[in-house]
Amino acid sequence: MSEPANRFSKRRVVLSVLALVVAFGLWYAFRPEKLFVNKKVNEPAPATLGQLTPLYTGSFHTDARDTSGRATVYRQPNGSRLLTLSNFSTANEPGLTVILVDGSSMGNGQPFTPADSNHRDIGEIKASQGEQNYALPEDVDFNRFNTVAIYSAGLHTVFGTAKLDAF
Amino acid sequence: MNKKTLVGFSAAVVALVGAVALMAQTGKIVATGTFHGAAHSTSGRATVYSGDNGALTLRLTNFKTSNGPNLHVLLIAASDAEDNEDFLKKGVERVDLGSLKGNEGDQNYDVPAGTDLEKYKAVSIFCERFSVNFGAAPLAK
Repeated sequence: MSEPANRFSKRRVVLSVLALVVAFGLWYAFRPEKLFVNKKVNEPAPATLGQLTPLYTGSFHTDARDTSGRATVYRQPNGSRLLTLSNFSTANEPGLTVILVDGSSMGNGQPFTPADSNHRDIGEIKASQGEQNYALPEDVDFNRFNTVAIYSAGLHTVFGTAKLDAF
Repeated sequence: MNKKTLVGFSAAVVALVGAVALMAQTGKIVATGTFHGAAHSTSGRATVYSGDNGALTLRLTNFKTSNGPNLHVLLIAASDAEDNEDFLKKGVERVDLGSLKGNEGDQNYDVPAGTDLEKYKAVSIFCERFSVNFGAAPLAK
């Protein structure tokens, strides 16, 4: 009478071990606790970035002339802001200026007439190609003037624009 | 060489060195883009920086995704990836930058020397166990 009971309990042990192995396998495969457990990290910026903090960035798009590259606004350690153009290229034309405009007011290839209310002057362009930096006025409101534009005073057109997104 | 030329020449050298130093200081963002992902909500920015010696670093900022088993950070030879896409099945080439360090927060990954960013144009947070793309960021120069 004791033997069948013994066999039954043996089978129960084997089944239990099997169930445990399967449960462990399923847990390992799906790691369901990760649905609830977050792993936060906070590594510093690469040393190459130096003391500059990127604030906004955007790629240039062609408007009236082929224009490409990237515009980035950095905050410097002293609190001032710096605009850099990198990988930059536009048409070579005298009297080009870098301005900040309200992107929503810009039309494709439309004539643009700068007025005090619709843009901020950053300065005469330094070169039609290559890396370049521009100091920014302290009171620029990037929520309003959210687009860098390359403006030709002679042709009254915008050669290219880069919409700035928060970094 | 008279004194005037020497002074002019020195000034030119100083100006040139200064200009080069400034360029080296700020020519750092190689490419950048923002994450998207619907099935496994993923957000933040991926940026590749170049160091002084040309070494590339991928940095994730304001980053957030779901935690999951065996997540890796990949550069993929595609301009972007769909949510949940198993691009490995499609034979998309990839560079594995290692295990995801955390599903939240700022983090850096070394990009192997010689990685061609003209070819590998997007970052993917990839679940190796189930071959699922959690989220991707197309990189623009």
